[in-house]
Amino acid sequence: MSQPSVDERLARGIGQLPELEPPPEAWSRIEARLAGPHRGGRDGRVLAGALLLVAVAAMTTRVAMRPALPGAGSIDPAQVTVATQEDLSLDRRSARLEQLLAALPPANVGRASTGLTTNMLEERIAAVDERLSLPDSAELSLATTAALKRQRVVLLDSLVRVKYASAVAASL
Amino acid sequence: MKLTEIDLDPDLLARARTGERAALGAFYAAFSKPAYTLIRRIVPGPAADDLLQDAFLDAFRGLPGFQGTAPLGAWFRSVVVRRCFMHLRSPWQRSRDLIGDLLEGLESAPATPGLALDLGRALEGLPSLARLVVWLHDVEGYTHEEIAAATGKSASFSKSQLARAHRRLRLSLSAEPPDPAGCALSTDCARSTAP
Repeated sequence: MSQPSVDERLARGIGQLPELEPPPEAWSRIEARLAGPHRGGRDGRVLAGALLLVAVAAMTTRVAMRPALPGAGSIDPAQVTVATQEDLSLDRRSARLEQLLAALPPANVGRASTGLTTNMLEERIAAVDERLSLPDSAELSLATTAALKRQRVVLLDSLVRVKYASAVAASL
Repeated sequence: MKLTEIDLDPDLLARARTGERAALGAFYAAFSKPAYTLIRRIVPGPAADDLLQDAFLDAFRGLPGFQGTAPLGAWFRSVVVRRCFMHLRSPWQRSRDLIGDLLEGLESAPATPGLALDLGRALEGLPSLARLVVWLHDVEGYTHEEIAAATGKSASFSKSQLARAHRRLRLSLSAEPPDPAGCALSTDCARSTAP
């Protein structure tokens, strides 16, 4: 008889993972939603959330496309390489997104997934910041530095969306 | 027990189709554990709790139209899988995957050599769509054509996702200490290495 392949053993192992217990309060929540009012309310919140995300996307795009900060024009373009021009642009976008974040109230962490998402984004931004500030960061290639800064902008952009949506949803 | 192995007494099912609360409760009691397991394996994290509720509500609303042409468990499984897939293809979830992919290169290797990822954690570490394909194929017994139909992708996409996912799982599990008995793929062994 032939031995099962590694993939077959892998599939068998996955199939033997233990069953997981649903949260004890799940049925009572389903019953509450069956009762009616919560169902429409939740759908309404989902719709409101979708509209908010569109609004935030438009807002953050506007922020990212604003002209340069005062003072940035004092840099002689002839003195900067293409990579450092991108760095400058990414730094400006980071700075504007941070201004936006500072203006937002703290995320509503009543919903576990929102709290986890916010924490995950903040931790990853911190990880990028840490990497950029390590003593050997000056030795990073321009491409690596730019990639890290691009990631920072993406993460900040997502954090703004989460916090904005959370803040407005909390006010509904 | 798998969802497809569960059935309800016809009388109970008939009462559930009318929306009788006690019968719906019995439906929930019969299906909740395998449904939650399926959801959690495909969508780790707190979103699974919401998806469990959504799937049951979808099923309760759909029960009056359930024709009985397929077994009840198979029908409910398709409801659960559809819910999971809707979640995975949402713009927000896809943006999270994008962030995860962007940062993948930044994630450091385990600090302690040999620190094991057990199989469940290795599965959680897969990209969400790959996790869906692995679970549907390896555990639920879907064919690639059925996965293609469920996800709106092609069968070859499903095959390539599965091959890549298996490769990533093998790599994750290779962090296990050498085990001549080959128990790195056994769930008992995997559980024993979990922190």
